[in-house]
Amino acid sequence: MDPVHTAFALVFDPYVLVVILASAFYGLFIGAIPGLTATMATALLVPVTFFMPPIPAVAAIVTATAMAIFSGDIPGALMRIPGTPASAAYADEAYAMTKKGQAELVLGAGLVFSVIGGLIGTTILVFAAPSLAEVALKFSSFEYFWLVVLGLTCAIFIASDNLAKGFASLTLGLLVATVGMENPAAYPRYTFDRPELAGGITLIPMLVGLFAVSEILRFAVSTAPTLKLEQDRFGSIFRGQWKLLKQYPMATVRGSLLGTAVGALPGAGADIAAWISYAVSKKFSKTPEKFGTGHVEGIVESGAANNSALSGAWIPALVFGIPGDSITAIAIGVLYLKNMNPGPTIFMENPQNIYAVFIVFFIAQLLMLPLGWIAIKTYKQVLKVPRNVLMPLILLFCTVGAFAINNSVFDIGVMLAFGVLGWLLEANRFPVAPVILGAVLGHMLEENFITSMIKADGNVWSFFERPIAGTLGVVTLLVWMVPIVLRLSRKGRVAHG
Amino acid sequence: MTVRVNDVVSGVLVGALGIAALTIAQSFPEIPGEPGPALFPRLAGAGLLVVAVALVLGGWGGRNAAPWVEWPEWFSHPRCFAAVVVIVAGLAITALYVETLGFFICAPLLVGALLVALSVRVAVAIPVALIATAVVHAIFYSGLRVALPWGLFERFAW
Amino acid sequence: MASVFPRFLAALFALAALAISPAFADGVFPQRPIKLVVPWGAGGGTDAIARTLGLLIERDLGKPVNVMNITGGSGVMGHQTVAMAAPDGYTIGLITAEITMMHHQGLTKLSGDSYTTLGLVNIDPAAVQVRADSPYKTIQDLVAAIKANPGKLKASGTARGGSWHLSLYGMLKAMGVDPLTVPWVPSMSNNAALLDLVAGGVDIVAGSHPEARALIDAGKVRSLAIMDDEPSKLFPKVPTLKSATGTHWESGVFRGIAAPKGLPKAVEERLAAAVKTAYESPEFKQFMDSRGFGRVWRDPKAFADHMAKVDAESGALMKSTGLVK
Repeated sequence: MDPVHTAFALVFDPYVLVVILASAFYGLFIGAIPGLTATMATALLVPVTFFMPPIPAVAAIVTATAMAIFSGDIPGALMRIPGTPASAAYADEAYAMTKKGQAELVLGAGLVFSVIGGLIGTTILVFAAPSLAEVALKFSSFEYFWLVVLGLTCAIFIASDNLAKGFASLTLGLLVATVGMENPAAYPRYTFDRPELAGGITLIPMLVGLFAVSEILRFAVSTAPTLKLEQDRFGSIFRGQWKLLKQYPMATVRGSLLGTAVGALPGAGADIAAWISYAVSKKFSKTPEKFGTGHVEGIVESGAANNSALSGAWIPALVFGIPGDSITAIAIGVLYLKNMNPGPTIFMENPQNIYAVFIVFFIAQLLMLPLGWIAIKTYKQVLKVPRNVLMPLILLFCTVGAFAINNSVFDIGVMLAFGVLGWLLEANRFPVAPVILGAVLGHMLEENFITSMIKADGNVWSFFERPIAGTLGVVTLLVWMVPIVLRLSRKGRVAHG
Repeated sequence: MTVRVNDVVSGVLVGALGIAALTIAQSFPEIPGEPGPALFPRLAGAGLLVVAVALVLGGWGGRNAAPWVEWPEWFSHPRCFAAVVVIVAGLAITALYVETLGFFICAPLLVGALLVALSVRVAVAIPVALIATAVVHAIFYSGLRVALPWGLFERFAW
Repeated sequence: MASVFPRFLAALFALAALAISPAFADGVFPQRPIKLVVPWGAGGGTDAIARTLGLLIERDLGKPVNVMNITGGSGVMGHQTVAMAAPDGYTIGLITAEITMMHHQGLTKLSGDSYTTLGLVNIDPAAVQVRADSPYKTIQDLVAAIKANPGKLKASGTARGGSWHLSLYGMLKAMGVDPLTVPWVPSMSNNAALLDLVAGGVDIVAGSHPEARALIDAGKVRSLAIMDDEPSKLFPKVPTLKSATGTHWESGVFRGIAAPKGLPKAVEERLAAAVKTAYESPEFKQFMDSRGFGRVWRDPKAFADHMAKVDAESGALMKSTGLVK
């Protein structure tokens, strides 16, 4: 029998199908709960996959992460509490749409465009993995440095009306990233002799604090009536999606391609893909002024991007055993454990196994449509629970989530501190999202800058000497210069005219 | 809403953080041949100072429009005040003592106290807190093998 | 309504009192589940070894062994959790080579002496890797190039002062080359360093064979020598440092099971026996071979000696190369 048939037989086995279904529900559940992320979903699955044959083990991880990244959108849209960092980029936008009474449209868009992004990303993974992985292998610290600078530039594009406050939040995030000894010099900075701080401030408790705990605090002191979803008007989430696809075909494709590319670069993942996509979407939109007021365009693009990034991350993972993100880092361990050693040989020895994995990818994406629909319907029911009962329960989940990432009670304290900080920032109209972006990219920025300087013996021009780095560098500088030049010339024209 | 301050005040606070970051970074060592661990903290500190100046200058013009410090209305609402205290103190107590007391004491107390503070009836709050604790423990400890601390109940651990 | 809360509190206190009261029976160890602390994240190599061992120890002891990843502080938190736990045998940990280095860097006061050793199960020797298309075909080529152009070739493999950093500097020192003529480019993981090697960012990566395996198999990376007296199982054709250059220098990372100091003798012996049984099981052998990890056994005494030896070497190297004051 040829490998493709064998692969189908491997996947369409009752045991494997049950595992896929179970991990789908598990992923939806974890992703939808604030404080529990797709990475955590994978980490917690490892002990379970220990007892499984290779195909179901990998299938469980693939399915659970895809579902978790999508379902992170749900609490983001309905409660302004993003379920995963990948949803943080556009949680404000989605919530603004819910407030305008467009909850079903934004949730439907999150679902449908996640599926489309995932399918495109998977198709690229299946047909172009080896050649794309070769490109990813050309990225050294010089190239990553420019990529990170581009990513940080995004924060400026999506900054709120007040540039100074947006910049303050971003810088605060960058400062947070310097805490600990995981810097190139391995010197403990701002640790105040606490061993807990030596590893730096963990992103997840920080995110949960900034978004979820601050939201709970806001709820606790609000005297205004809470937002009520009009249950009767909560129509079909699929209505209007076809129209969106026809309206934003470019955004969909661009988001999916960008997501796959960013995902395929080791070190960047779904989180960064969502941020960059959202900024790109605003940049190229015909109506950038609508962004931030409850406009679906950015959600279409970045929703597609974060799911396609998941598939993209598997490209270097399968071809070279190099993780594209924290999820595939865990998955590679499982692949080795199951004797499916990543590397070019994975496509030659036992090709039925790798084909089976690809089939699982497609099944997971398609399964997202019905299961995502169920998840959204269920979540709507959850929201019928009075908020004053729901919020304490969310707080409990947040606490357990913050604890579980490192098994550390210190992280509960981190969550609390950032919860209060987020609350204060928000009340004084400082945007919260750039803090996260700064903290995520700060490490990469410093590491890639310092290591590049060591490699080049301090020669700054080395950032432009390699072909890809030079191109990225010039693009970055253009992105900075063009708006300034345009503004100056416009001003000049006004003055002369 | 919480404490609201004039941009001049928030600028001063941001500036103070920047100065603190810069001061501490003075003690970071230099490494020959490398930019050293002090570079990025200094950049971040300097960035905060620049922003602080912008905020102060921007806020100075509108200083009469907004009061220096605006105390939130919930300060005079006992219910709201209690809820904030429960969230902050509850999480702090959980962080400090959950390893000694155990999840089975801290979790129902945190959830139960917040429910009561958010004016849920006690007769509802207690069963909800207990059931939530049991369900979360079952999912995370038994299902996902997260090592939730047993604390006082160590010898009953399963 | 108001009367419910005091009653609830009373019930809680009664339960607490029951919990604090002396043990109901002092039977044979173990009476309840055992925690196996891993100082590194879920899904990594160390975690996989711990989980496999955990299952096998569980089978021997007849009580659940729950693996607990405590990842804070670059390994400090997990190691600290094991050392500071109650010495009752219900908390054990998988400790790694970092324990011999962190105290030199002033990150913790703990060292190998802070534990009751139960058995070392793995050593992965360091090896020297270069790009497959680099001009260096042998370790001699590489060393000659380093001597010819001091400071030009850059090396990577782990964080500054990490174990692979020390392995490489120790090797250079043993060969009579000034280690500081090879600037170290810090990296967050060996994987990241290998990627940078392939992308042309650095010239040398020190690390283990299991870590470099995928890229060696893919024909992107060449391993020049292994810092051990025996060739590795994964790549037996890669010469040992001694056979290639005559220089004797062994270095690598290790993993072993340990418990807090002050364990009751009976508990210590029971646990050490369980670790040994787990190590000798066919399942463990099969697992270690499939991942390419070096299966090496040191009994509790030899494990402690090994840590003391590595500790002294690391300390001396770090001081002489200016990594610590």
